[in-house]
Amino acid sequence: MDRLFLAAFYILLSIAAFAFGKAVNRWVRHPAANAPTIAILVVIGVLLLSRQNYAAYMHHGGGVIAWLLGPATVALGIPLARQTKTLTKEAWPICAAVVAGAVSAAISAPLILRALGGSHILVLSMAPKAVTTPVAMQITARIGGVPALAAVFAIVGGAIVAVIAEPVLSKLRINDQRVFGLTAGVAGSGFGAAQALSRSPQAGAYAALAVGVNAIVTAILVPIFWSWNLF
Amino acid sequence: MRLCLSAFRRAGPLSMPPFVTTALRLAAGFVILLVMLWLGNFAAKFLPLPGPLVGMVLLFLFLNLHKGPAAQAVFACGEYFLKHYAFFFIPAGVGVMVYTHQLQSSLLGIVASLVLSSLLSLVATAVTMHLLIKRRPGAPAQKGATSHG
Repeated sequence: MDRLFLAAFYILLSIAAFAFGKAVNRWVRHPAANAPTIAILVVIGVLLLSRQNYAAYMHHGGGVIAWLLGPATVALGIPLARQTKTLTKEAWPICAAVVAGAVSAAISAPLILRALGGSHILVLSMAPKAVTTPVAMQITARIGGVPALAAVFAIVGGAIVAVIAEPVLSKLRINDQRVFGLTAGVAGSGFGAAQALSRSPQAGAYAALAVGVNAIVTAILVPIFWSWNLF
Repeated sequence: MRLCLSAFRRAGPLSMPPFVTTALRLAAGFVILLVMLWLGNFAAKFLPLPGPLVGMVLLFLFLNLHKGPAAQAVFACGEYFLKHYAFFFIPAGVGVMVYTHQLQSSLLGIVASLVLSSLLSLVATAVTMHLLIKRRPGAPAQKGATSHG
């Protein structure tokens, strides 16, 4: 009974924290104040205040939510399937651009961190940071990094892209909605996609496409780079 | 057989209250997502790719081959998952509380890495796409994007 009560409490806590995060995001309207980051900080705060550890949270309720991440990742096939026409029509530029973005992120992120003295575990967890969070966790687990760190790097990296995508592209004098959407989706996964969608539905569609294709490309590339001892 | 099916289809939704059909559709969609995940996890044993990602590709193929009621069920359930997508990685993110020491010890490197690699990736993607794409105003808008992360 106690166990069930605790599980219900942790699940409700996560839901409440996420709802709170969404409310704050609607109020502040800035990608830095995004719902998952706020929710994670709230849950960590409650756990620390009630002197509970992470294992207890995962054992009671947290694990259920984490398990649902599997079907949620599979559901990413839906926006991808909606864009089949776009994908086949512009297959060559889209794939080339995604590979360019994926390669530059997967090489530069871990190498910069290593050059600035990051530990090996951190470097391995940083490699897939441009990819959508659950896939980043899976890729990291395959090469010996820490999924929790990869999740946080992916979330913070996505938020950074959501902030800088617009100024960077206007500096480059690129205002094609398709390019903006694809770029935001490749560099910033879902956060970039949300930003692109707020600009125009077309940018949002290209971003959704980019998130899916980038997940596949990076999942293939990162283990290859790792096997070359690049990180 | 076909008669039976069509009779069921005609009678089914009418004989049940709407919330039951909605619940059944969501449940059917969830089962299909789980089947894709399971197939993906199985295939991942022979592929250098994560299981859920293979599941995503399988769902993509499935939705391109099949446009009937099963696809509608997946759309109904999947929209719900995608709408609250970021919620499902809260537990993973909470896991950083175990690694605060590691994060603090190389905070500068982490921030620099995230900012610079994002910048580089943005420029590389944008320039490549910009150079390869034909410069014409885009096709009419389509919908579909995830909410977060």
